[in-house]
Amino acid sequence: MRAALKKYWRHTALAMQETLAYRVTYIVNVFSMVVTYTVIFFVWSAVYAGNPDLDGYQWQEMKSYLIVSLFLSSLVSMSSEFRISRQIRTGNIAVELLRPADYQKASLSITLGYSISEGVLIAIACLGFAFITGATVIPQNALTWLLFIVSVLFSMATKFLMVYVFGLVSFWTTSLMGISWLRRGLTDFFSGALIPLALFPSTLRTITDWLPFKAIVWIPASVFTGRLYGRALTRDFAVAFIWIVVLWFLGRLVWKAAMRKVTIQGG
Amino acid sequence: MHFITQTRRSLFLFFRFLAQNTKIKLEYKADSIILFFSGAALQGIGFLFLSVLFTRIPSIQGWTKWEIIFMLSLIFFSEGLVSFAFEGAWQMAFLLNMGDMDRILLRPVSPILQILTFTMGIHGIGNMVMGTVLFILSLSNTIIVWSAAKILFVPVFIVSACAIRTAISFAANCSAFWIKAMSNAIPLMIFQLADFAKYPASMFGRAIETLMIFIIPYAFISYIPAVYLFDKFAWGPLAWLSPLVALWLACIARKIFYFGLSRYESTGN
Repeated sequence: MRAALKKYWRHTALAMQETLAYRVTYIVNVFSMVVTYTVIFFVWSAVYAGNPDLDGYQWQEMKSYLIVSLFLSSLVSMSSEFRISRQIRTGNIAVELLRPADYQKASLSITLGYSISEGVLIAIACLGFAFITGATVIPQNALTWLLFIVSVLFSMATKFLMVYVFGLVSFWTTSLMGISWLRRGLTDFFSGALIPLALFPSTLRTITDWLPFKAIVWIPASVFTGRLYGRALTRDFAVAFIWIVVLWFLGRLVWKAAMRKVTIQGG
Repeated sequence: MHFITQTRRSLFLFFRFLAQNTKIKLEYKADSIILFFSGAALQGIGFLFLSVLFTRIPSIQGWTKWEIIFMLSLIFFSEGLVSFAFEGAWQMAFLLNMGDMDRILLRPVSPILQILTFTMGIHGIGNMVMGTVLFILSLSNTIIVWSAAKILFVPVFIVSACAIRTAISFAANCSAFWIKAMSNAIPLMIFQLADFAKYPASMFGRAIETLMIFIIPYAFISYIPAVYLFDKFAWGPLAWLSPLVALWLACIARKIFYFGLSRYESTGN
């Protein structure tokens, strides 16, 4: 067990160093997130200029919600997706197959590494955002902070698994661009990254309640602002957990199917 | 006379390159279908976002849902057209680093034309289709007091918008002459700034408004035409400047390219 942990920790540590090497991708990712959220911020602030209250959402709470959303949306970035797809396209996946490590677990460790080194900077950017916009709604007690941390872990696990499954699609298509945009677009919308799910029309809300995207932004951000707690939270955590298990095995399934298909030519 | 033959030849070559590139891309059927639909779907999500937002509020700073969707459709359409016809601009770093630029420079055809048409993006078609659909829907859901001038303006500004978009992305990609790395952040960052043009520039405060109108004039693609067509402000007719802005930007982009080229040293083959 300890040896296994050590093996995967090496992946994580290497990935952390790698982020420093791929600065450009990193800068672009953060910049594009900041632009997206600056736009959204101005849109919401214009909305609130005319209505002080939207279904119980006040501007103060919305600001905190959006900042946490920025943090979570940046956390597991597209770089993980492109890494998997690059390995498949260039054939480097063959090397991975030779390694005495499970590819899904190794990918998870690497994504974790990216997230740690990126997360620190993103957190600083978010604090800057919070300072500029004057967002003040934060968790009021230790328990809420703890639940928030748990929900962030759920968020990362869900997003990683989606990225992983979508990344494996590269075994069947030659370019990942389209798929990756689609995943990002779907995630942005259905996770409540840009509009809190509570403000969705009721039919759409029922749909999002059963989709895995909710765990990526809506749950952690609402725990953070103190909107989600108690029984509702327990239920949401349960659904999120089931999705993580389902997606984990889906990843295994897609991988198996891909392995039946893959032919590696010597080189 | 020489100029006319030159233009005709360029246009002829442009369509030939485009046709060839399309054939190349269509060889990858699954990829093309995915890219087409993901282009359209991604824009559809942008539309969905606005629809949900406007279930809660009647208007944002006096702009109705369909007026903003009108702006959105122009961003989608111009983005799509540039990806479809001029995706090659994004290959600049690749061309410079791999030495393909030498091949381009040796041919007796404008290097700019060759670079712009080096490749094409299928997703552009998806964006254009979605942009067109939303454009038509927004026109039928908004109140425009049409005049002869406004009717005449529509084709003028659509062509200008596409030219502005192309010039900006080409100029931004020329940064590859100075930043000698395969991945260059500048063009992507400038591309991303078009997000601000999806909403009325007046919403973002003076600094961003100035940036969008005077420095990287994405506002001429969507916001300024919208102000004119919907009679939002008295300065609306200034939208007629958009062809001049397009021309000005094209000249600047050309200047930047040839300046960069003068510093270009081949990687050698």
